Amino acid sequence: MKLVGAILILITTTIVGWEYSSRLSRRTKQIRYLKIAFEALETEMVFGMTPLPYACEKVSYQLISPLKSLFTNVAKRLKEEENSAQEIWCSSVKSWKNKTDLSEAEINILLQFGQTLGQQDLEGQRKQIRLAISYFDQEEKQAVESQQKFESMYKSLGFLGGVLIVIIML
Amino acid sequence: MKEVLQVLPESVRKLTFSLPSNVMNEIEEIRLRVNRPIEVRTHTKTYVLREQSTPIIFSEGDGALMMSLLSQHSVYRLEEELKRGYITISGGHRVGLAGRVVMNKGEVKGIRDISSFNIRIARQKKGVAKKFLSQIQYRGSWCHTLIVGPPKSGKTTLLRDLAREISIGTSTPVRPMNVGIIDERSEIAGSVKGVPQHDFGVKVDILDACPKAEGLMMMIRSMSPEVLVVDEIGRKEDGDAIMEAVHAGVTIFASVHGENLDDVMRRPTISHLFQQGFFQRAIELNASTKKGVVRKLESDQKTSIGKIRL
Repeated sequence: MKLVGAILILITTTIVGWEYSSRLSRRTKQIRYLKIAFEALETEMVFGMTPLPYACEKVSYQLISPLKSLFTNVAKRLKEEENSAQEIWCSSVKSWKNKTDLSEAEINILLQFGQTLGQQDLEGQRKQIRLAISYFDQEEKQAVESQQKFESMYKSLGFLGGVLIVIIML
Repeated sequence: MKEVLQVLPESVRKLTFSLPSNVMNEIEEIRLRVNRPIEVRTHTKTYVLREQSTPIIFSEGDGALMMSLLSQHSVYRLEEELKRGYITISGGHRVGLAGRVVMNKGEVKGIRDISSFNIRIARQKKGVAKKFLSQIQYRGSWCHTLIVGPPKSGKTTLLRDLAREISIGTSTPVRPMNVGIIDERSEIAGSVKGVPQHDFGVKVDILDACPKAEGLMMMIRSMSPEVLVVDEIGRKEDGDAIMEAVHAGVTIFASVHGENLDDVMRRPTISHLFQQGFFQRAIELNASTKKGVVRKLESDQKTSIGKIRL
């Protein structure tokens, strides 16, 4: 009986450890996709002159979950609701952030980007997108670093933590 | 009207709806200014939008929202429009803008922080040209015609309907003709993305937002029009281009700002058009009585050949 319990504890803590470490790698991946998304958005807005709702829709086709849902949602709301783009973008980002592994820093970049969305002329809009992308670049670097540092640590910490609990309880 | 209501913020739209329907049908302008009451103007009267007898104030937020609705949340697409100072929305209505102007190398680059919107409602009045048709043709073809009138006398409305009648050609003995419209201010056709928002029949080609002098020649070269329609001629180049067009065998319909015909004839930039006897007919419009007088022009002398109520 004791043995079964010990194995169960070990399995749980290991899974938790794995989850934490994979969160790190998912964050890096999602930041990369954010960059791709913003580059696509730039192309649509600046070169394609596509209206914002349709630009967001087109960008969403090129993305995978969870980013896809943000752009799909924004595009849908822009078409249906009568509200400023800034309002729609920010509230969409806020309700969407729990579905992602992004940290507060990235969410803040997104929110800040939303403040001027669709309200500036071509040059200004382009600068805003470029600025967001350069912020994401930095965040990506930092995310890669912490991934390298902590990824294996979380994994082994999970397993070893389990071992510790088992030993104490024995 | 539907298209106009769509670009108004919700609160304003609701109040506009509450206006009596006879006022609604006659609205010519809606003026929205940040931190000021909203005015709705018909030809004769001005109404202030009120909620329970207190005028509502158009807030800064409303202004930003309106800009979003006007541009489909995409101000970056309006580069050209902001440079010219107005946006044409579907339905051919025009929204004039005022605010802080941004300059670049001594040229107007656009308008930012927009504080005033003036929505001018375009109404196609089909049939206003009908009564004039018989007097501006001669032996089965149209005469070169100039429409003279002060602002808001209906010059553009008449020009638009003339273009329609000429292209359809059913109410006159003259066959339908290819009409080319050079619409520098997007007012005759009210084009959105190059597509006219008014009904012109089949045989109409439009150069939207094209300078008149260049446009006249472009049309002649590329679209082989039989009739050319231009709005608000006035600069010297316009006069020269019209001469060229007349020599190319195209009939010209033009409008010009002016109190009356004498006033226009004295203007140095286009007076040579009269001296050389290019225009065969002139229609004088009166803003207050809404009447039109057709005059037959023969080089220097002018004779009135009939008064028509618009």
